Parts: sequence; C-alpha cells; structure tokens
Amino acid sequence: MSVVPSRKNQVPVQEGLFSMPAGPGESARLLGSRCKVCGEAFFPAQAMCANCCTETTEPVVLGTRGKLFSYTNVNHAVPGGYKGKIPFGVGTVDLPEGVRVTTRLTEHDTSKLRKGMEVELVLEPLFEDEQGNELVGFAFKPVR
Amino acid sequence: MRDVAIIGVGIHPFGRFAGKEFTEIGQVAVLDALRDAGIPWKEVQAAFCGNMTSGTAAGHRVLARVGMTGIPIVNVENACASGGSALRLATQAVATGLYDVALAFGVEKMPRGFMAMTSYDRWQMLQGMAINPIGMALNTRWHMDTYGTTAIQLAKVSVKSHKNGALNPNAMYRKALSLEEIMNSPMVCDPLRLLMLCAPDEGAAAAIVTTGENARKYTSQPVFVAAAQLGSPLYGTTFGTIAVGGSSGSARMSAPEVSVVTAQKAYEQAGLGPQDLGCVELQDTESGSEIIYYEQLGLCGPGEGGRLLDEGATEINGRIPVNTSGGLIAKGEPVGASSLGQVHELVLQLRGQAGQRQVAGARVGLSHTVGAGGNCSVIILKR
Repeated sequence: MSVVPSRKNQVPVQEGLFSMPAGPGESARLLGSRCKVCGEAFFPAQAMCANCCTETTEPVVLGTRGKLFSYTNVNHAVPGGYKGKIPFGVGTVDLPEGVRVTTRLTEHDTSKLRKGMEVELVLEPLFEDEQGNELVGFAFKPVR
Repeated sequence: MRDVAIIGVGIHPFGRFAGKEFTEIGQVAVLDALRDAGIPWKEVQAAFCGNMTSGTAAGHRVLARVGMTGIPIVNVENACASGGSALRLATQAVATGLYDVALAFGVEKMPRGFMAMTSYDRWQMLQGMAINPIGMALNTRWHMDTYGTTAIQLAKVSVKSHKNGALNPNAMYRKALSLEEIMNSPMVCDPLRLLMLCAPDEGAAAAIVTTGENARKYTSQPVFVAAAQLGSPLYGTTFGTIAVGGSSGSARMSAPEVSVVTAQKAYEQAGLGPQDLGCVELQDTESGSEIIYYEQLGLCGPGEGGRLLDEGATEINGRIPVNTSGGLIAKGEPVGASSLGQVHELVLQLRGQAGQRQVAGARVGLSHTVGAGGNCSVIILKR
C-alpha cells in the first residue's frame, strides 16, 4: 500500500520509526515507548526511561494528532544526505502521550503556523535513494 | 585543592586561511601562549586539546611540531564546549597536584557552509533535519512567542557583534553592519537570517595554567580560574533534548536548561554571582541564543533579554558587556577553539589589554559555550 500515488518502491527512512497505514482510510502511526513507572513517553522507542534511568518502558503507538510547540523552516540545501525539496518546515509537536517530537512540517510558510495549533501525522515521500527506492519520512500537517 | 591561575594565553586569528593546515594554526596559538607566559615548552607537563573535525590525535599532531617531550596529551571532542572541557581538565590536573603547569588549547579548520554534524540520528539526516540552526530557530521562535522578543532585537544582537568584531584583529568579520543589512540578508531558518548566524571557520586559542602560588613567579597579572564547570542536559529540558541528536523532549516536564544549571554551579564554585561579572563571552551561535543566554546565565530575568539588549546594557560601555570580542557571530566558530577564544578575550579584558574593546575596571569574566549533545561549559575568571 503506497502512502501516496507512486509507482516506486517506498522505503521508510528508518525501520521501527513509524508504521505504514494498515489500509485505506487508516493513518500511519509513530512508534514510541512509555515508562511503566513515571509515564514519560519517548520517540523513537527506547528501552530505558531517561527520567527514571531504569529499563522500564514498553512499546506505545503514539497518537496521530498533536499541538505545535515551536516551528521554523529550512531554506537552503543541507548536509547529511537529504536530497528532497527545499524549503520545508520543521517543528516540535506535543503528542497526547506527553512526548515532544522534533519533526518535519508539511507547511514551510511560518506565517501559516502558530504555537498551539493542531497538527496531524502524515507520511511524506522525500527523494529517491541510490537503489531507486523512494524514501518516505514523517511530517505533521496543520489540521484545517 | 590548589588555586589555579592562567599565566599565558595565545591565539591564531579566527577566519579562513587557504593552504594552512590545522597543525600550523594550532601551533601558532600554542607558541603565542608560551611567549605570553614567558616559559619554554619543556616546562609544560600535560596538554589537553579541544577539536571536533581534524580526526584522530589532533592535539598530538599539533604538539609534536612544538616539541616531543613525552607528556600526556588528551584530545577532547565535546562539540562547542571542547575548549572549555580541555581547560577544565587542565585546571583539575593542576588543582589536584598531579601537575604544576598544564596547557589547554583548541584548534579547528572547518569546511564551509552548514556544519555536517554527525551528532544526529540517520533518520534525522535523511529527513533534512541534521543542521544546527533548526534547534536554535525553534528555541528563538519559542522565546518570541513566549516573551514577545522581536526580529529587530535579533538583528540588534548582530549589529553589536559586528561593531565589536570590527575592533578585534582576531575576528573573521571586521566590518560594522547596519540593521537593514542584517534584516535584508537571506532567511536560513525562520526567524534566523544569514547575518544573524555565526559561520564555521578556522582558528586556534590556548591557555597555560599553573598554581595560584606559582603564578606570580611568571606574571604580575595572573588571572585565576574561579570556576570551571561542565554539564549535560537534565531529562525534561525541551531545548536540551533537541541538542541531543535523535532524542525527543517532554511536553509534561520542565527541568532547568543546562546553561542555567551549569552557570549556577559555576557561581557557587566561584562564590560569585552574575552581579559580579564585568564581562561575559557567551555562545552566540546566532542572535537568538545571545538573548536567551542573557537570561539563562542570570544577567537578567526570564523574558528580559530583549530589553537588556535594547537598553544597551550589553554594549562594551554598558552595565554588563557581552561578547566584546564580537562573539562567534563576528569571529566565526572554529568549534574546538571557540571556548578558549572566549578565555583569550576575557584574560585580555581582565589584564586591561583589550585595546579599543577594553571594558573599564572589569575584575571578573565569564565564558559560556553550549552545543551538540547539550554540552555546556561555564568558566569564571577573576583577576
């Protein structure tokens, strides 16, 4: 199942980061972990709770809607192997589980972004890798 | 523990030096510090080198060309706090009595453009998120949303930095810039524009320390290391966790940021407070950071950073001069050397040798760097 219409083979930027939509009308989900003791959540998932410093987390599928905490954009080519479109938005999003995720935003025009606005998870085709696969990442999109 | 004092500082100007290897750049700063201290290399008993991009045994490669005396040499990669970490180790080595004379230096020769950081997870790199200005822009936007800090105030930081940098022969950019020039420069990561950001560059700086008791044998103007602290972020700090590649923050907790905690420890160690500071060199990776760190270092209250700047309090002739050297915005940021570049400026200020940049009557100075991994160094110097 493609996340967007495409003939290419789609590959996530990293395994275990998010689940692909289970079917039509379903959303992708970010895969995190949550501490059974203090309740703090982490993304990506990690075995240790960074708050309790104990191996007390369990996997949690994170909510798909959150609130924008801060935002910016990237307007110039960047290092690190990224070959996708410029500009793009970046923000920090607070999810219902209490985790603040640093993420791409589908909106790069900061005049259309504001603190506290509701955003939802989408998958985003990024660019074609050396094997000819289309890399897919995650982003949050303002809820209209 | 013994008192520790700086008896010599040295620098290789920060800038671009085509055809010059980092080894030569580093050597210039080390020799400058030895000359300043008036000691031969053979008196140095241990060396600590801050460096991020030159690869294995960077410090050894610099110092082998100065003299091979068999001393222990430790290379420190701690991102922006590398030089501060090196000075802290040198200070501890002397304070504990392990050595009597130690060298801390930092050296860097960085590629142009955005730093190609390896401090992010691969998924962040592939999503185009592995550049430092993103975190700083998120930080700055939060400050604007929370306290009403303005884009004009961001530009004013850069006006001040370039004005001071024009007076500093060791700065990369030595030309004053107008508010308009800065506001019209290209947007890099909103709200941060190109001329509000520091640029990676090349350079080196060094400091030689000995015991407070010995210091007067070498110099009539020893500068004491009143505090040397290093920290990493607590869990629950929003911006501390952004600095740690690949980790998320907490929307439920709000722990004090690493610069707040590290500065508090430094003030306690020194038995001094922000009110005692005569000059400050802080991590102005970009102009938003300068305003935010005014607050986190206690130079003013939370949300008052923009006003402190508007009042001119942080100008060379202001109440609490900040980045008299021109800061990283005007000097550029040779990462491993930047902390010790701050120390070089503070030592000149405390000795009364800062020329046109001289702050009247400064007795105490503070150096602050913070960067990748959330590494934060705070050093307090006093004469």
